[in-house]
Amino acid sequence: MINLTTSDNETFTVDKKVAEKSVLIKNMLEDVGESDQAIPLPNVTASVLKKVLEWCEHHKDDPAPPENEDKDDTRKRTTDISEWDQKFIAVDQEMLFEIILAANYLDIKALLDVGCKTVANMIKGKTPEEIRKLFNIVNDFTPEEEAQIKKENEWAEDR
Amino acid sequence: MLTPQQVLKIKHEQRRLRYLCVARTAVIRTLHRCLRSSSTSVGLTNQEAQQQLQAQARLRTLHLRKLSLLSARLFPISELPLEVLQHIFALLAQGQPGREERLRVVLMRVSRGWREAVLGTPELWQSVVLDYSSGNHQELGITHGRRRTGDASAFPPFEPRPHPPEQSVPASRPFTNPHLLKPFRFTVLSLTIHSTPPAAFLASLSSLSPGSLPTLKVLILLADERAGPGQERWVEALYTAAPGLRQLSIRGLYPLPLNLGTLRSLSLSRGQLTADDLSTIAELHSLHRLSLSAQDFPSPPLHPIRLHDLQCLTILLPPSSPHLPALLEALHTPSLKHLHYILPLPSRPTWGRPISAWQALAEQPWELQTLHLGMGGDSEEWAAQLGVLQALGGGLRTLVLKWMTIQRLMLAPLPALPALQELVILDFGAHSIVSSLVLLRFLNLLQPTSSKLKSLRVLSSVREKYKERKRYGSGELRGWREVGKRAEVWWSWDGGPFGGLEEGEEGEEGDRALSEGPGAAVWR
Repeated sequence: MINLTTSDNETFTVDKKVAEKSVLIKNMLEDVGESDQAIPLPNVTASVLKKVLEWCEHHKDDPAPPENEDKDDTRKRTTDISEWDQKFIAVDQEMLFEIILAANYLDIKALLDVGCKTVANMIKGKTPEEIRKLFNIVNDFTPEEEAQIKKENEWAEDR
Repeated sequence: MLTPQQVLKIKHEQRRLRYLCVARTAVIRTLHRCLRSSSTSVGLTNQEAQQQLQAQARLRTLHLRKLSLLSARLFPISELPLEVLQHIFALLAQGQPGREERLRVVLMRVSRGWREAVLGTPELWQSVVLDYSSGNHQELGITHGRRRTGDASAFPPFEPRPHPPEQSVPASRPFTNPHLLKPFRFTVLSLTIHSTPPAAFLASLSSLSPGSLPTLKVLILLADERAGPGQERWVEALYTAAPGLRQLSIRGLYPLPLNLGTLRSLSLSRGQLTADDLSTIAELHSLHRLSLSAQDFPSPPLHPIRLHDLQCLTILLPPSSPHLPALLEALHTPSLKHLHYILPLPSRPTWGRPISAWQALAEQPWELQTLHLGMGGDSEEWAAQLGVLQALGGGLRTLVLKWMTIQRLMLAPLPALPALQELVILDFGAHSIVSSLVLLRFLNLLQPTSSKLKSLRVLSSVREKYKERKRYGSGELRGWREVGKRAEVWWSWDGGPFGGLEEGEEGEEGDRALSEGPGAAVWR
């Protein structure tokens, strides 16, 4: 079993196989060897790590993805998210982005893909204004720039 | 960045809103129960309960929307690392192949940060179009080879139309990235250069080192006119920079590549097709597709043109040229299966009728599977064209003709086409749309000898533009039902047998969607 300590000082004890879904933790274990000392994860809070470990537990027996994935395969799977993952990732935006950040930091590619696909699906089919509203993004173009961009892209918007 | 106090305040507000959502959901359920059982236990009439229900649902939606906004404030998407945002964009691009340009436009308009992220996402820039035709520097984007329904270029032997004029935009852009090739040169698959780029850009193109565009597969060079700029050094630099080039389209006098062993498809549209051009083409031994289009063809080929792998050939040359028979005789193309042969008809003087060109075509030993013949002209020329149909081997599977030609063919004895499986009808005229009743008569004449005919494809630009279906009366619709019993009717290039012709061409499988014609709805 492995101990993991979060940024808010909570410690989780998990199965090695589950923890090793993270390439970061796997490399750490390989570098320092197994010990009773907890591995510090200063960029992850307890609430997020709990969710990440839930995902790792569910996927612990999944085969490792091939090193060089075929582009076509990637294309086919782009918007596909398994039913379990869809339920797992049905969280508010804050948690979704926290999970994406944690997956990026812990180097769990499959989880990062689930999060990014979810965001991609949220963006798909929306106008720039709808995207800004959805993610609370400030439109920092000047009115002149915006008018110019709109003009230059009129041809594409009609298609 | 939010202060810890602001974060606490937002979280408190989130808790309050979540509680309100739960409470309103409970009220909504109670009201639903009351409405279902017509109970007045909550002291409301049905109408009042209904109003309350709507009010509560509206408030709950507002709370949920505010919750989402608060969540976005707590962790704005802009705090994601750039590489994660670009990964999201890449997934979006891969999920919508052929829609890169639209996606780029949407994403780049969100904010400056997103614009920068888009510019740094290679997956969104696999196809680049640089359009200088209006004197302004444009980046438009192309959908690498994916065609829209009804685009004639879906059929390989057609003259390619990679860049429809309506895509040009006479506008300048405030944030032009004049060296798109530089950041994306290791990922760009398709590059289109329309008109002459500015001198600075030409200089950067000329200095491209050999092999520096390793992924480039499709290159489209379009001069403003077919007699456009001549031997350009930057074009030759592009050829050496793209050792894997498979598809090349040229409009204008740009030079042809010498001995480019990977090239599978060449489309050449010049003001004048010269003997030197033909000699260069004869050295491109790996060609599978060749399209030759010119306004003038002044001299015959100097040598035989041996292209053993050539499968698709388009010839669109002036009928007045006396060298057409020599060109056909010079072609040694034993694998040729698909031919598009058009000698434009307008204002042809009696002395300029290309009778010998039709006769030379009739004498070719090609075992064609697909033939698109531009038939017409006076009776003597028509007879020569019928000679081509009669001389065809028994293997012709697809015949492409204009609708007006079909009507004229019915007046003469039809040649036997025993292996014909598909008839394609092109309808470009506004005055005579394809009639199912006439078509039925034609099928009656054709089918005794062409018993394998099972597919009928109608490409009607008129119908696409003006929704001609509305003009079909009940008699015509009955006719379409009958036609549907005789052959499978398609109203689009896509999804039919033409799609399979382009083996090995990346991103050219076309949209498989079948658009329904008037018959489709009736005969089901």
